[in-house]
Amino acid sequence: MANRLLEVEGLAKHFRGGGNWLSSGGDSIRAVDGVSFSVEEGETFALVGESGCGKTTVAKMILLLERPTRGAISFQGKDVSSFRGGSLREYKRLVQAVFQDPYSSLNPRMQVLDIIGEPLRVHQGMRGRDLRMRVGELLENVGLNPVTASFFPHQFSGGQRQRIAIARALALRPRLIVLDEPVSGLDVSIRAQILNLLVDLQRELGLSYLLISHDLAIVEHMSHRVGVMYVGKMVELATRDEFYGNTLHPYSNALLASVPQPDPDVPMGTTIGGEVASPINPPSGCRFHTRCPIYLETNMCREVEPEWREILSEHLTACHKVEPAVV
Amino acid sequence: MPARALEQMLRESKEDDILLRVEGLKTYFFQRSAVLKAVDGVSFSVAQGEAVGLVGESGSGKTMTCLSLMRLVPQPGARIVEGEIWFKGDNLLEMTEQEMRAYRGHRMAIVMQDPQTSLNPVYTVGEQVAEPVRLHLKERGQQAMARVLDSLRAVRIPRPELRLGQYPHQFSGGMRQRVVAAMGLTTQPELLIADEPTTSLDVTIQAQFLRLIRELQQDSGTSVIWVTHDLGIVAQMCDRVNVMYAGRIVESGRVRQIYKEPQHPYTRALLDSVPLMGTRREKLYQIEGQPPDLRSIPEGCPFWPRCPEAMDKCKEQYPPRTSLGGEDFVHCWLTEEGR
Amino acid sequence: MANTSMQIVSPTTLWAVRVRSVLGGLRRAPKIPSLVLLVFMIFAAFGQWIAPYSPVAVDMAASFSPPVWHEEGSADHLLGTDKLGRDILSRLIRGARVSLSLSLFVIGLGGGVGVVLGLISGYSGGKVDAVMQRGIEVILAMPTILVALVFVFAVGRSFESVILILSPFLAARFARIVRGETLSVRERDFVAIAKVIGTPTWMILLKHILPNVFNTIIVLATLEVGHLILLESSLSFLGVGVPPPQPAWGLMVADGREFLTSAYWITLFPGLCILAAVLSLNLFGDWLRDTLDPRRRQL
Repeated sequence: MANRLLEVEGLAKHFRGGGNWLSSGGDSIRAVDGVSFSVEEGETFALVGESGCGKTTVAKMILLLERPTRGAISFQGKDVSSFRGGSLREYKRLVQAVFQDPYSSLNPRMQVLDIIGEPLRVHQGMRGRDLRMRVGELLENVGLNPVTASFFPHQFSGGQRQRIAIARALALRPRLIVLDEPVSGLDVSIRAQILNLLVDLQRELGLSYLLISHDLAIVEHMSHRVGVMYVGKMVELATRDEFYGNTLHPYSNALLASVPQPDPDVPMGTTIGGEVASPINPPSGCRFHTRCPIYLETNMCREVEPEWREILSEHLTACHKVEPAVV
Repeated sequence: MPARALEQMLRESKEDDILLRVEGLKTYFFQRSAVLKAVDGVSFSVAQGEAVGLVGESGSGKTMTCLSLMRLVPQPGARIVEGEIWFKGDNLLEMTEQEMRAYRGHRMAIVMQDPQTSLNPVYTVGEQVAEPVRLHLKERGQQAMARVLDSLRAVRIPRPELRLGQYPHQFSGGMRQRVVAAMGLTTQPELLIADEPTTSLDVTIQAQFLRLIRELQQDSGTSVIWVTHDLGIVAQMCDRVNVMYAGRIVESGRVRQIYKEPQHPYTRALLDSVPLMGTRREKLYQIEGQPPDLRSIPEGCPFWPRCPEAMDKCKEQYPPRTSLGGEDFVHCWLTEEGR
Repeated sequence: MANTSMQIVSPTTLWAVRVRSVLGGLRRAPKIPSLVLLVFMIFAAFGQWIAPYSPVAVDMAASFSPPVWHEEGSADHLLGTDKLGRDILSRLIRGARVSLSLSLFVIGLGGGVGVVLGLISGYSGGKVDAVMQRGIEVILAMPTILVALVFVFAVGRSFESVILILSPFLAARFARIVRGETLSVRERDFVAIAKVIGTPTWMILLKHILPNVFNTIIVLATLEVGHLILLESSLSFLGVGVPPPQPAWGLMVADGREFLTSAYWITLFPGLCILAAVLSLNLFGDWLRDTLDPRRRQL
């Protein structure tokens, strides 16, 4: 088994809704409610789900942009919350991010040299000729001409901006890059360029990716393992081949059936009704029971939260209807 | 001349079931220093009850084509410079603004991308859906309400009697988009323009919405124009596809034909560059370069700088329309020279 | 991705882009406003050598003499004199220093403090923000003129005390607006990325937030200059402004009010100076904003 790079154990984030520090606010929003998974060295782990499922909040906690309410994140076997000073800096060097919107992720007032150079300046105090060399090299790595280092972000198209964002993430030779919907802000013809670039970089540099996406076709193309989230909970986790070949959870099935296939001869599958449940007052028992097509009429699904268990080797799910094949 | 007469007759009988015919439409943006050719000679037609896709990337002119159909191009700045838009027997571009109003929201409706901004937050949903009924059907009171309820029911909004009195913020994204659709459909339009109506929706909600539109279309025989960059939606929802690039339709054909045997290198590249579920490709086909800047569209075929099969001819002259039988056509020197 | 022909980003191109943009910006500077401001600045700096008379030289014999183009006007006093026979032109030239430097000091001190507070308040959020905002509301709720009256009576009437009393009000206005802008900029992804990278907070504020709220600061500052000149004249009118006989434009306007129908020139020319200064600053501010914004700086 590969080396475990990042491990997330029982991670939860509850936001206090409404109110401020004077009034103690309304209901808490359980954005993430006990999520566990790991990212191995050199692999792409994909977190899939619809809006409000908490996948972005998980990413933010890993990037230390949000503090977990419960649970632990460990990196290379060490608890991230214990990192201080030097070890914290080291974590911030090894974990980088690329976000969805290439227009918002680059400071419009900075030249590309300063954008890509920022991590190098902050961490390595690099400056002058060294900095320019390294930035030039990084620009070439992502397929841009080094002379563009003197340009400002508005002089680039969306795809080129995303390349700059990737170059910035690569600057410190990280181990893990969190990719939050890296291509959904881009044109169709540009997406392939960026996806291919990410795959190439992973192969060359042995990077690990945590891919946050709602696009199941992209996830199938990019990932090695997949985790599906629904209203703050993980409902299924499996290797890519297992997930796409032997889907267990009814929600995962519904997600797969909902994707309109770019082939007129493959009709659209049966989708599910209802709305994505709200994390403010999540349904009792299994959170998916309100939309579940195979929902048991017994009180089981409505009252008892299904156990998160391994059904097949390396294939976990939380559903009352699925029986373990191996124990 | 009997042959000519026969041809004429044939054309007329075919014209009968054509709802919308666009001929050589050009919509330009006039800027201080440049003219942006957003739509540059677009021709296509939509038959009665047919679903037609307009596919393209940002800047391909698909949205501007639709706004031109409704004569709603952004003012000031943009202008329809040339072309004809025949809706049944009437040229929409020759109508007065007054006459046009009878079409907009009545005989043709539009559902836009963002349900957030298509609804006015200060009016109840009932009031907004009733608006076109009052305006175009001149119905009021009980009669109008009954029609509003019918259309809310038609878009499967649960408990419409209750939802009628609520405000847009009390609806989820998917439900809001249904309300927008209901607004468009109350007057039973002959043509529905769906401008990326599902981009802001979740996958399962998108699937529900697509299903809904398809059913409504089958029930009422409404024609639909789908504007999208999502090749999956086109494959599932459309009978015909028009692929747009840099303000022109580069290929047009029946969905099956195009997905099986795309003729234009751009169409082929688009289809190959999207990851396809179930078929694992080591590497995605990659279209090099960027979509063209409308201020400086390359000479000749605008796709040549990105085309792997570009020839010298492509850089000089825009390829003519090559018919592929029936209504299908392509603009590419490869096919033109090949025959 | 081994590459043999490694192109190095040359420092000259980087600087060339910057220098070119500065030059290009200067070339497009608005001509008349720049000229007006330049003249005023020269007045402020070298007024004592330019002005034909001392601004406080009283000449009762020549009181209320009209500008030169009137029949009774004389070439001795090009723009006429006031009720004490003081030369208007000389007072305008010398008054530039008081009016402009007062605004400049107040903007510099109050605005500077306000920007810093606004950035901190908006970026930190939570309790710090809440406490600071209550403080700002208290200041904004106070009647400026009344507070100034009390303050000046307590510490004495001087140029410095006017600056000291006006600065907090300006700081509060700046802080409020900068905070609002900061709140929206800090939600942008590049700030999140900077945090992920581990960029220190002061650097995030200085390199990411400040440049992106700069537009607002410039616009606000240019608007406030006009406001300050007028405020100074109100204070002068109430007798707590810059102490006479030091000339200040606002004070001059106030002085001439009672003779508006008989000797309009006493009010008109300082009024025109204020107008020219405020208008020029606004146009200049627009240009500065555009020049500092790379998106508008199309070369």
